[in-house]
Amino acid sequence: MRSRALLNSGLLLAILSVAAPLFAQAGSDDEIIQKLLDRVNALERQVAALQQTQTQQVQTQQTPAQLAPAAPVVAPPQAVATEQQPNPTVDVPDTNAAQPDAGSRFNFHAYADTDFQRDVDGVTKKFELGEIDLFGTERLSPHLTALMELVFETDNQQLVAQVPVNIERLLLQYRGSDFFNADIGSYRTAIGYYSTAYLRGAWLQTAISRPKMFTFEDDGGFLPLHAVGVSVNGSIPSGDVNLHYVLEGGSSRNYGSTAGLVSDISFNRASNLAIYSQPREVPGLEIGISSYHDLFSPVAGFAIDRSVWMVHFVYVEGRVEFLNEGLLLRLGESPAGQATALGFYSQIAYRLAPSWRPYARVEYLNVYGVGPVDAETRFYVPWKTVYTAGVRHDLTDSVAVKFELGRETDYLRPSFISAAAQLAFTF
Amino acid sequence: MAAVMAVLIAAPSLGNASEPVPSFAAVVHQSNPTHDLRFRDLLSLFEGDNRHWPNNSGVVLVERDAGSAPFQYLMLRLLNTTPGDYKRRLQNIEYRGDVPVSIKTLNSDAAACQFVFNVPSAIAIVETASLTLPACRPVQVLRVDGKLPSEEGYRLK
Repeated sequence: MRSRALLNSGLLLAILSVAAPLFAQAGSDDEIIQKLLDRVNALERQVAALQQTQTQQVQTQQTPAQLAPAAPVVAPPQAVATEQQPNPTVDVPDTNAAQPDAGSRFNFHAYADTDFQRDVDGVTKKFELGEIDLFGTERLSPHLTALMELVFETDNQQLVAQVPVNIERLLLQYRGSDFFNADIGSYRTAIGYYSTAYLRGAWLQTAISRPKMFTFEDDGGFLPLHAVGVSVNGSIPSGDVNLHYVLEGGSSRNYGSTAGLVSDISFNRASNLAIYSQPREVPGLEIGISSYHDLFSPVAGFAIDRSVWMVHFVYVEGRVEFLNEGLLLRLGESPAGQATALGFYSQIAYRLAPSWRPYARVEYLNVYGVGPVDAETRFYVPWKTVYTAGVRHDLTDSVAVKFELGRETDYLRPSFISAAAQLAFTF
Repeated sequence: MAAVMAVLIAAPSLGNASEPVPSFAAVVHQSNPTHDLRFRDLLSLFEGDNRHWPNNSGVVLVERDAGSAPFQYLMLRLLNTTPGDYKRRLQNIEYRGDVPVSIKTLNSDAAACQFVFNVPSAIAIVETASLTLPACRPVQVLRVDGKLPSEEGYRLK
């Protein structure tokens, strides 16, 4: 454990020493560009205001009969922006047709879904409101950004008045350069690919269900997908191989704050190193590996070494989405025994028509070991194989409907078939 | 699964390829030191994978409105995607915690050229026919894989 931590620290120092001379270059150019963009936006607003004033003056001089044919030209800004009508006569950037600038200081997105589920957990059939994910970033300065993601988990509440609110992420991000960035606060661990790409937000992911191995911790998942601490990341000068690194250190949010409770699932001394490549010659391809280690405490007063190694091979480009991840989880060596879990999932999706994307996924996990740790792990991770197939249909650019069937085989109960439908949207 | 993947990747595009496609040009500010882009790098810019110019300044993408020929070309031919998938891709970049892609959507090629003229790190795709417009004369037309729009083998067609 200590040697692995030393190795990770050594790698961080090496990365920092390589990247240090490159830090100073960034920022000044971005700052100038941002000022220019702000200036352009301000000028556009002035032009829009002048146009509006001019339009109002013309309107006051016209009779109602004269106004009728002019109405499409002076449509409300929102209507024009939505319809995005081309206007070849405009020679200057027309703010009426401009969408919000993604580089502005505050960005906000929300994701929500409603579902119908049949036997997703093997027993229930019900309609449910999914989760509401509020994601926002605020650029505080050319180098600093605040990121917050709040999730209202409406699907798990027992009483409608007790909807849990999860602070999924709360980060102060330092954006030094391509080679060194730091996130401080509550982050999602860079274990594998899926959790980093689709932590929450049903609309973002193609399928309804997540790969089983990435089940959230509060839904019975066994991977530590969230932590509090420091995460640094950036590019590694590597030419067309285009390597990136992520190095994290932290603990669970509840570590040390639940002393005395019988159930105290927490972890401490978590370190994670992820390296991945996005080859420039093969756009859409990402190949990576991550190595995570911590002291895992499933009950108060008892801690065991936990290690998670993951590899991923992902190709997302054009019509194709091909996700593959392999997992090796080890718990122990302790007097209470040890357990090992070996698994993978493979998901493929292909856009057949402009808005239809069928998908299929295969998942497998095998748990073995000795002693109470093995027995508890099998209870904690009961599933063995999951086959999933479905289709996603994008009704609009912001609304998708999905249908999905699945078959799950467990250690502790007979296999079952599940079905689900979901309406996912962003706003 | 790998065999299925190979077939799917090799499958021809289902888009309507029989329609005549006009020529397009990538334009940047006159001061932009990049004069020649590889086709692959141009895609990388508009896909949001690369958000910086070689001089480390942030790229500002200038896109046309959804009904325009340059936008249709960008979606269907250049990126082989749909507006919905493109939106999902760009939001996913931001959701992963990376710097958001800067995009300006304008409703004419002249407006796009004028924006590029005003913002040194901007890049736009406009119809080649629009390059004769007064607003497009002061901007720089990029070579793509070493070729200008008028040359044989130019790829933005």
